[in-house]
Amino acid sequence: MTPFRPWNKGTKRAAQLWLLLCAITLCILTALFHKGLVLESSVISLLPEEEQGTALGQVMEHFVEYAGAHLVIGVGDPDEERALAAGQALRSVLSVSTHFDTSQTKTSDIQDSLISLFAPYKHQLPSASWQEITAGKSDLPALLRSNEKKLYLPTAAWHTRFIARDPLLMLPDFLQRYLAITKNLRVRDGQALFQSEGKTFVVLPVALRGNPFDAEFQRLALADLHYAEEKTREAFPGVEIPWSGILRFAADGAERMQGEVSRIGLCSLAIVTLLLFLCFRSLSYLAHMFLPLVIGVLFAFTYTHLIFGNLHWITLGFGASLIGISVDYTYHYFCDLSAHTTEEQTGVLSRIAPGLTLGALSSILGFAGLATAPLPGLRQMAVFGCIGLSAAYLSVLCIFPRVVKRSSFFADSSLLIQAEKLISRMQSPGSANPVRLVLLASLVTIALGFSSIQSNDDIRLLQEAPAHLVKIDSFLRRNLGQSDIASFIMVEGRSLQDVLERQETLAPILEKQRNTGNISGFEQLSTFLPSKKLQKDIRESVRNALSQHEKEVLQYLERLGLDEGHFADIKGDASSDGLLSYQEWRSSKIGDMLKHLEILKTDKGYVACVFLKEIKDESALVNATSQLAGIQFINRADHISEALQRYRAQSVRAISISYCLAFLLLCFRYGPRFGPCIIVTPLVAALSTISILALLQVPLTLFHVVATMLVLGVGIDYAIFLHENRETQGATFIAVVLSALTTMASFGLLALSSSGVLQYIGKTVLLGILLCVALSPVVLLIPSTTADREPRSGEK
Amino acid sequence: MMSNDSKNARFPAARDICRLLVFCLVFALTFAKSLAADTSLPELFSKPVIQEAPSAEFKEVSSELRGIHEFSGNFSQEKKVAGLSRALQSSGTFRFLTPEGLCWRIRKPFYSDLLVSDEEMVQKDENGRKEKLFTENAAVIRGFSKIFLAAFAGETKRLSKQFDTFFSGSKEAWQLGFRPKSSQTAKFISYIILHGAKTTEGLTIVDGGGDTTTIRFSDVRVSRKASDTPFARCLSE
Repeated sequence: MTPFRPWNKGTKRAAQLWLLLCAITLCILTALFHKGLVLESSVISLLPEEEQGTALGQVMEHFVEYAGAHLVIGVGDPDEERALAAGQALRSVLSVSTHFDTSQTKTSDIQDSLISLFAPYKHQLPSASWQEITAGKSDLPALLRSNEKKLYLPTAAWHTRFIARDPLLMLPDFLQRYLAITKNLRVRDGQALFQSEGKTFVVLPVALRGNPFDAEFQRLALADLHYAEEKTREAFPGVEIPWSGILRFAADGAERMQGEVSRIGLCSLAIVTLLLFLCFRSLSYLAHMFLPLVIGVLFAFTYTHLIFGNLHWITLGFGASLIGISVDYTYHYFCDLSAHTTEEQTGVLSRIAPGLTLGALSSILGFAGLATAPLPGLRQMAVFGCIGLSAAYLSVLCIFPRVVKRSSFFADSSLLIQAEKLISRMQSPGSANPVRLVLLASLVTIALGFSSIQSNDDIRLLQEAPAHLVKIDSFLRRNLGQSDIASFIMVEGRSLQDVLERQETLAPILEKQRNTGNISGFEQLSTFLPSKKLQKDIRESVRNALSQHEKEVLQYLERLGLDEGHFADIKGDASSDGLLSYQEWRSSKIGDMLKHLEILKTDKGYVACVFLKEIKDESALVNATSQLAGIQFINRADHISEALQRYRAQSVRAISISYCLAFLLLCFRYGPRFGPCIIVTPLVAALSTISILALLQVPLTLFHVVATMLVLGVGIDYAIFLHENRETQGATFIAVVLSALTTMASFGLLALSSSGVLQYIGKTVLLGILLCVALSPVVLLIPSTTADREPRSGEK
Repeated sequence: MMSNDSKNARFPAARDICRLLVFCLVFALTFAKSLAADTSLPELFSKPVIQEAPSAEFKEVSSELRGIHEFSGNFSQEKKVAGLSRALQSSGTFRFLTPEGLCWRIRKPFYSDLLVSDEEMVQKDENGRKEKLFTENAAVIRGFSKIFLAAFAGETKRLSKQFDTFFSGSKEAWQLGFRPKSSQTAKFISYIILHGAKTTEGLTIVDGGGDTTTIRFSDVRVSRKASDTPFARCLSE
């Protein structure tokens, strides 16, 4: 008996080269682990890429970077003293951690910064009182009377501090804007407190010293935080410690996804193992089967992380489905070997390589189709899938001829006989042919369901944050008077001053909205930094008022016990020409503290955000602001949903083109007789799937649509393999069914995922592949002649 | 994910709190000229009240003050402000009602009414025009008002959470002193002194910057029952 040696020198070199590549990849992966893997769990990654580089994209990027660096921790107890002591204890434990910064900004620095920044410009600041004068609602003598009365009040400490340096009290009036923080908070001994549900909560702001999406940082920071919580609870039993921040949501998302990926991966692996064992009943053989899979995942994980700089948990969940597809190549390799005699087995590569290559290419194209939707998250999945499948395919071609030495694989030869009988039945003429029946049923389903397709691209369907975390976050946000970033106003301008002036135009409109109760407040840069135009206007108004009311001012100074030199100082100040610039403000400590309000440079100019609190009626806000130039109300959820809707329409077009290209390619390779029969499998399967979902009243989303690309990529293989291997129909059909079963097992598990994205893709591919395998024998309905199978001229 | 949620992620709560704390301290520091004034402290501050074992006189005075529901009369006030060559003197009437707050009516050198409550500070001029002196969001100012109101009411227990308490004298003539426990509070209130006989007769507040407010009460009326006159009328009369 001739020993089974399917390799030659060429395959040996290919195997060596491939193993070298595997070793290099393993080294890179080890280095990545050492450096720290970044595993994302935020839907941010799924945001439309179009936003990146645009004003909105920059605003969001800036915000996430800023917000991600902080946490808020509350420590609550019915006894205020106990809450304060527990807060202090928690802070002490956390202050030792290298992952948190619990220190407060040095107050002496801030004081100097605030006074030294604004004092030189005090006579051009839009204090509330002076704005009334410029609006004609008041005059300088009235302001002086009001100032005098404030000084006589028993609680006038705030104003008396400034009176000798700023007799018009414009600076303390203006600085009140900086004092206005939130309604519910109060301060005791420098500590922010709020009351809720019969408890006093001490608020601890904490800065992170790392990336909240970095898996290793998450682990270490959370360990420190939980330790601090535990120690505090030990010392103060019963205290409540709510905390929130991007770190918490990111860590929770990562933990849940990690669990899910592990479950999907393990279950998928178990099902595939079971199927293989039932078919081949050999443990050593199972090891061969998983080799391409392990190498595929190794390559996909390493290079996708290298390309993107991170990996999303959704990608890993999706990647678990690779298990089902990558074993297909192994099946076909083994099935071909099983269907041939030992002598024939040396030609295995030349026999299966064309079909396997075409199948791998179509699957890779299917995954690449995911990238047609301009969403970075889907693009990452596409890259992961393409790399993983390519590596699995190359492993089969390069390594199997070296390691696979058995000549018979099926444990039970009756399986082959039964498969061949079934194929014969499928090829029989007449209406009872099961393939014809499936095809007919699919066409009826399409006819019934296609007209009832309804779409829903609402991003909120993909929300994944657990209710208890959202509740804690809302609790803290409500009590701290936090703005909601789900909706905000974006102000764009050609220059920095343009943005400030537009915010000043917007301010009275928002004040009106606040007065009518539509919002409870707003926060924008121009509240804290007047535009140069406004500064000039106020200075001019001060100058005019001083010349008109010189006598009254002198009398006012005299009554207070201030000499005439003060009048000269005010006049001199009001005649200066210096203006407070954005750069000067931004480089101060104050600018750093209000970083979230800063103006960002874009390709077209500048942009800044106006944050709104407790919006009641968004349409009223849109109506009130829609006429203002450069001002746009943004509802993030609606904005993303609209983008998803656009991308869905684009994806439908892109996928239609892909199907047409695949059809032309098939016609070129297999001629006009078989090309249409092969494409009909994934096409009818995809349309039937969409129709079935429609009949089940599942709304169509972008993710259902892109999943039909996978149906094409993976499902087309079945018809190709059946057509390519007509001589070994039985074995091939077994391989096709096994492939489909493992693919369905993997994607079926995705359908159980808590992630909306994975769920939609999972359901679509599960149904699609089921229909593909049922429809794949359609190609066998047309008998093949010898000429059909002969290579075309020039083809070897 | 800050899922969108994670995105919804989340407005930087920490930033607001940082701002709040920083401005609290800024506010405090603006008054902080010198805290090394221990040498000039009145002698009263050498007589601390031991909370665990207060003197009988202290217990008697504080229980007298605690039972007061309404406290009204005339006042004369003198403010000595750094940088001003003359003291700011005023007089008028006042009505203090627990828990509503203080209605402060200046009649000399001009007409001006002030309502101080835990939540707000509103001033009304002779023309009836009302003005909120601080926005309702000014947490720092509200903290100051709370201390002021507690001092006015002689709420020794409430004050003792944030202040060390001092006492001298007897029920017939007493002095109560309060000094902040934390350096943060000390930066905007150096000390408070209440003095009186049967009721409070005067109040002195020295802020962190050294400005002194001295208030003397006369024709004082004290009620231990709930008043029939609604406090809301303070600014509407």
